[in-house]
Amino acid sequence: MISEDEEMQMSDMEFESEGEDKAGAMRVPAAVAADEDTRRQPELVLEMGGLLLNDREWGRARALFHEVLSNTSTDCHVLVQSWFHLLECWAQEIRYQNNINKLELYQDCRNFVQFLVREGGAGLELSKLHAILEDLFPSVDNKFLFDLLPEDTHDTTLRGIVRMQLELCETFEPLEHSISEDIEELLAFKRATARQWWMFLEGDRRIDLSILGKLQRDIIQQATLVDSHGTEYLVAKTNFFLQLFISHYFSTYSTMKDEDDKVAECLNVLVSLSKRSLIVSQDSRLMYLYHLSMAILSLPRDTRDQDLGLVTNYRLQVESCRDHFLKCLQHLDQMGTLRSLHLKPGQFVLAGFILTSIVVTPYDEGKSVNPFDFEQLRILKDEPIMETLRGIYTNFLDLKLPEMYHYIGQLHCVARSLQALTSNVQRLGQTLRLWRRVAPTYSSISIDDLRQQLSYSRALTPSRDDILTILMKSVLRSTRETYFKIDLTNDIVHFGAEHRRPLTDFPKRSFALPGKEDGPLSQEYANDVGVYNDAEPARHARGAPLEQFFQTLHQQRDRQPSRTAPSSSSSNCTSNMATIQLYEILETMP
Amino acid sequence: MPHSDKGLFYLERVAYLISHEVGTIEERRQCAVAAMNFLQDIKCFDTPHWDILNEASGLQIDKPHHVPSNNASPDYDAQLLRKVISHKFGEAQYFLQNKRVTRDRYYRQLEETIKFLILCKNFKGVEELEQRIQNIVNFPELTVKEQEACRRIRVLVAASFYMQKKFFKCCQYFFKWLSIDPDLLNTPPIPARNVLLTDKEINLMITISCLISIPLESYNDFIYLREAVPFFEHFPLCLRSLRLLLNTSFNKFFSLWQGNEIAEECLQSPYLVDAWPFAQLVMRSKIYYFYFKVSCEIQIGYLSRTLGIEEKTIREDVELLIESANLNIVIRGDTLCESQCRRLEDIVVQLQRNEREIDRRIQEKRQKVLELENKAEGIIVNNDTVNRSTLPNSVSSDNDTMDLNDLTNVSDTDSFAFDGTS
Repeated sequence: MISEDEEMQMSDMEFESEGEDKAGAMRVPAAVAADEDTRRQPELVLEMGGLLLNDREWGRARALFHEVLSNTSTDCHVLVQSWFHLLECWAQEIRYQNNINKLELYQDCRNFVQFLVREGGAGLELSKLHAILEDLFPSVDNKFLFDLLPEDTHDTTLRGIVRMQLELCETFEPLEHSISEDIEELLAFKRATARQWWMFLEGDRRIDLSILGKLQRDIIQQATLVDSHGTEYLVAKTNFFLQLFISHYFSTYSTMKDEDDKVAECLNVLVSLSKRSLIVSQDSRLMYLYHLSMAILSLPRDTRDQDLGLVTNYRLQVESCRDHFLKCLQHLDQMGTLRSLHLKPGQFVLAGFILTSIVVTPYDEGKSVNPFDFEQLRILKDEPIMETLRGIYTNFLDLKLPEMYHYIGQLHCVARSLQALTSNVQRLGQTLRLWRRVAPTYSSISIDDLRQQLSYSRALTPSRDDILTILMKSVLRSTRETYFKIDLTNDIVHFGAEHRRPLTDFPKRSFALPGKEDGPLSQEYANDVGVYNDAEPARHARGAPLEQFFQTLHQQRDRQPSRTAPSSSSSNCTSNMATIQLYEILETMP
Repeated sequence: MPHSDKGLFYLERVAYLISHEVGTIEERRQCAVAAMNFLQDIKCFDTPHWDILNEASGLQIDKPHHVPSNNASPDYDAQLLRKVISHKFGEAQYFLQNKRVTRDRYYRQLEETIKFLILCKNFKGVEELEQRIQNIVNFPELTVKEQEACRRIRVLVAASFYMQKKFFKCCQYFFKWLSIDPDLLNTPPIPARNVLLTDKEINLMITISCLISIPLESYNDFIYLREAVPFFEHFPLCLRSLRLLLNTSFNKFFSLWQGNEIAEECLQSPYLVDAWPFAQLVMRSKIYYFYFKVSCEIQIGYLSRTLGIEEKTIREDVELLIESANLNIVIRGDTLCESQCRRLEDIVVQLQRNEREIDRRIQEKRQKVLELENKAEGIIVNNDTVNRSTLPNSVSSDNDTMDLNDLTNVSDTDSFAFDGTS
């Protein structure tokens, strides 16, 4: 039972708050008031306290709970109830009040811990305890970990909150090994969170990767259990996990290589949570974290890595990335923090949105909306970074390469994270300039002049091989917009429809490998080399089934092409398909 | 039968490796000894490979003249095995055809048959057998083992197309079944002595067939097919090669192609090697042809440096390609360039000249006939009015009209024929 010391303390407190107590008592049922001269029944006091708690009269409620607790004859069950109520009181105060008496809070918590340790966990409603502890450590919800600036280290409110959490963690530490695994896990999570925030507030921006890994496993594991503690805790974990993930990304400019899939798994957990719960799906903060993480994951990487991974459809990837950036902007807007875009993550979102829009623009066949027309961007038109982004966008549309490059150079703080994207934009600019500006105006141009035409700066002038690669890839990917022939002896490129000549005037059936009597073999050779299908390469529907793909090729092989002389009507092979595919030149650039 | 883990297919493979001097002498010796042991295990020495195996193994065993036939136990499998080992393929085939199999082992029996057919390169037989597994209506109802046998048969059929240098058919067949049955490649391993083609060999056959038979312009579509993703997980080499080609890193591609991952493996496999020289020729030609398409003038030396292929080889290949397809490309010293004179155009000019000449002559003839006709009519009219008894023979005038019609017909068909040729 309660020791004498404590009893003294508690009765002191009771004394201090007696005034409040009386006022509260006025509102309780008359039957209770009538019994006032005798020692009040603890159950009734508890009930009164509960009513006060509902009215948010925290101070007075607490006094009543203390009264119950100080009563030595109180039933154990009632004691536990009043402890829970007391802590509930504190949790609400922490949430709704700025100035709380922290010393008193710590004292109550310490007493509670002592009580629990003494009584043991028997008969305790663990889920309730879990919920109350969760409430005592509300997550920081006016800031993101990755949004912390150096000047935030002096933010006393924030420091106060984090400090208090650390203190509470220490207070509750004895519970960690005595009650249950769930409680232990919860407290460990709360401590890890508080410590990470504290590190950031102290200016140390390292991420404890082991915590990241543990959270990942926890989230995936917990998602498979049917809400053990409701979704709230899982959401809190996912929330913090994503903040850690994003912070890690911004401090290293790389994701965790092999961990991407696991992050994606956690994001899937969040998606399924948001489908079930409106609270989750309406939480802008959480949705912002989700879309920002998705954008980071789907951001085009350094293409040199691509040989290692499997094939992804580049266009779809960039399109989805762009959509996630847009969603980020919309959620920032809803949170009312759109204007705080001077922070790095905000600029990242903004620049990412514009650059991905540039890359997907050509796919939309002119249907695309100017990204600057979006409501969220119009609000921001005076932000300094907007001028840079507008410069990149307009010069890209005008295919003025050096000017565009000048603006890309001004991206400064987001340049590194978006490097793969900017180099994609640059390559795309070169390819488009070749087909839209150079090819239509020159019938012949030397490779040296072409290099100058596609140059970004003196240092960024494509080499002869780069030029040849661009040209040849356009044939391999059927993306050339004009026929051409390269004179590789004199290094001159000729453009024009007249270069669309079949290499042989003879019909397919006349093909014969000399010295090989085997007719079918000759035909196989001719088909495999592709001698007779250069006029019109087979077009395959995107995502067609494998069988259909080979069916199309089969028809192409069986076709007896008509060997008509080139006519002027077939001058330009420009087709929408060609334009669409042009941009895939970026996909596997070395 | 309690054989060692070596079997018939191992024997054939070892014989190939030894006769083509693959590997070190010691490696060959060990393989030969294992093969000899196998022969002794089953007491069958009547193989055409006896001498080379004996020599390579260093055992120097005298070939037993009389084989003690265990007719006492006419084990069907053992007899068949003997037939195949002694390369009596005709007899073996007869044997197989007459074997009774229970319904629940049907496809496993077919699998044994197809392996034997491929071993003796009886591709016609393979094709006939393939007809029997084209439409298996009750496939899901088959036992797991039978389904696996079906899958392996299909892969073997695809492999047989590779061996016949029908690379496209190999791909088409393989991918058709892969898209119908995604588990095509997920068959559990079978005992080593039953393996005709190793996974690696099948892998290479499909990879080579893809690279060769898919047009360069369609590679890009191919690697982005959604259904192809699991395929590339199984065939990373194929994806790697396709990427190199798509990035126009031809040099790197050819060093991969000629390196130990592809070329060497091909030379070491009795099933890959036959089609390999042809595959190389086609692959090289495919790239040359691509260069012809994008360039109007190119030096052989440049090609050689860019592709990493010897100049001599390039020259031979290109000559072959130009000759067989009548390409409008000429070799001038070291330079390959588009020829200005177009052979067929010359012919067309000549043909047009002929047509005009013929037209002219027909016209002349027609003119003459017309004159004659007029003349004849004139005479008739004159005669009518002057003297009926001196009429000319009406038959002759009929003949003239006939001639005229004939001529018109002939000239029509002729000019039509010219059109067709041009």
